[in-house]
Amino acid sequence: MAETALERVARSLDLIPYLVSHPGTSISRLAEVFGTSSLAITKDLSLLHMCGLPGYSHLELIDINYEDPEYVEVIDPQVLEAPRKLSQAESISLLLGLEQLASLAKDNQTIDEILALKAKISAAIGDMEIHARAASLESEANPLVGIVQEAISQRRFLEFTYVSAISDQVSHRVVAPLRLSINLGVHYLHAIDKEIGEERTFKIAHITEARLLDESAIELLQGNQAREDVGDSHPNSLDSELLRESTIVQISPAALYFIEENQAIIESHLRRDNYYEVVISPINEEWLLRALLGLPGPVTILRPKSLESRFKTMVEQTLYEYDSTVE
Amino acid sequence: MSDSKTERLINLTIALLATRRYMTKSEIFHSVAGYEGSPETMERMFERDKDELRALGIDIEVGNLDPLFDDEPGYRITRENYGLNLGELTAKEVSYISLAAHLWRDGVLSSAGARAFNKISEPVVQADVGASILLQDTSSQHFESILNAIEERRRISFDYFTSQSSHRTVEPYELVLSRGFWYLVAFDRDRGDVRTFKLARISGDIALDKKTASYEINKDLVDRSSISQIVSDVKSGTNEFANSDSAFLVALKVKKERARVLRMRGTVTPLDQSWDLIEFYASDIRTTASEILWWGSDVVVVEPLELKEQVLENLRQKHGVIQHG
Repeated sequence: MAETALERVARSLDLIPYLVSHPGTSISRLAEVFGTSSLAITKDLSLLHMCGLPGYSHLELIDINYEDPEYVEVIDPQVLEAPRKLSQAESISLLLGLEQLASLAKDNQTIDEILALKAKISAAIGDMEIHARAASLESEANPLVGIVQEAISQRRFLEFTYVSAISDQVSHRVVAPLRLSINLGVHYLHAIDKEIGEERTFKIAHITEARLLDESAIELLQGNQAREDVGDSHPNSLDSELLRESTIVQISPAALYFIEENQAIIESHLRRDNYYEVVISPINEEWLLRALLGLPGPVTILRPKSLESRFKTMVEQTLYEYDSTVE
Repeated sequence: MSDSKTERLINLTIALLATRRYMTKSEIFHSVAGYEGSPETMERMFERDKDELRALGIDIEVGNLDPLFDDEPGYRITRENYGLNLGELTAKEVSYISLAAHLWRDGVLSSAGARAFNKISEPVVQADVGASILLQDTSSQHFESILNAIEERRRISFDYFTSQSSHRTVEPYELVLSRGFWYLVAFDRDRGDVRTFKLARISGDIALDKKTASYEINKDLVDRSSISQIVSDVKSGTNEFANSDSAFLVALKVKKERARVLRMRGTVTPLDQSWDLIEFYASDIRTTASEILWWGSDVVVVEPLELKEQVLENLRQKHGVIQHG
């Protein structure tokens, strides 16, 4: 969509104070910070160069030096040196961000501090109405998160019991925690499993009896640094049997959310008359079967055949349980 | 969009920020670059400019040059109103802000967060509260244009996809983030009621109506929309608001030593040698049916009947395909 004059005004008014506090920033970095192209920034700068106080002589104009795209500086900002109030999107990013942060806080005191800060920012925003909000989150600190946070900051091993919804098994884990994440509203812990030596993702809600160990996890964490940014919080990063090939499945339009929520594992999807044909990359077989069983409407597995027959058995067995429990 | 309008708005902001006393309209038209044409044209231009700057959060104060005389009003922007004033922030507060601003993984809120943090803090401050958190942001390209439309109260129209595609014209009310997705709550003019739209299901561009300030947000209608309701409505494709007093007791038979995660959700009592009974409260039939089917033949719905029917319908639809396939 074409940019409106207003969006450009907003960015231009923010560029000056940014350059006042960050002299020597490159045009490409400015483009990154302001979420636009280098060309747009260059145009903004040349426009700003012609703006200023009434009179508009060289003494009254904003003076910017941007001949060198690697080094932009403001020589005279006129009256624009101080940062402007937060914009709508900036306010939303901070306020919703603080709410999410509070939902992962280690104790109630931290939650209070974060919410007090949120109130302070709301006050500074003033009369501007905020047009976005988030679903209500937990207001009580989860003691488990406190232990996990401590393990992360002290780089120590964490021991816990994990209940897997996929394998329906309970396991005992010792892990070196990396970070917490929120994906589709669910809180996850990313950690290196000491026994397996690889990164795994755990749902916080399925962790019980967590205990901080004295042992330092620094060595294991350092060895893992190279791949610290991999690992999506998706079941394909959980340990158990993976399918060897992609799955092709037809699902009902009512199950569209399955495609939306699992982008990371969906290779392609095609809308046909009354169903979607979806190609799913090789992932945990158990997870896939369970997820497909829960979808509304018909489900047809075209490939692999082994999965199709397992699915058929699951459907029949479940129906059987209902038939046999009829009073 | 034309450079001249952008330039005029920037010049107007600078002039009104620089002036200590109120500037009259004629002074503005005379001295601020960009005001041209007949007096009526300039008048209209100025009125529009004021509204547009206000939409950016820039408040133009109106006052009289001489408080003793009721003469021509003047205009100015005060520093207090214009600037960001958070007062002194502690190092801890800066850390929280940094984390909040940077926890969006990508999208509009990620860059907006970075800009907000840049406004608030010097780049040297390194935030560390001992944890790193990443938040998925699935905000689409539509997020910002809808936000702008709401701010300026402009109607929008777009193609929306549920079970089939339809063209919708709505008055956007607010955006709601739930479980990683953005939803638009809006008044649908053709249907005469509030509807919820998942941003991910809007296809193509959003057309913004030219006219600003074309509607008012009906707060009562917004309050009716609880978040869980929105999500389940969009999921089931109905897009309607159902009754919200919908929490119901679920009773399930669960095989011993099975469905361990489900057991964490409610009270468990032994039934016989092979089954336990689990009870908990739920708020949506379809979502709960999906959750229960995850456990396959290890879980059987006892109550409510409506939930049992839903589970059986889901199963029979799958069985039907198997039979005919």
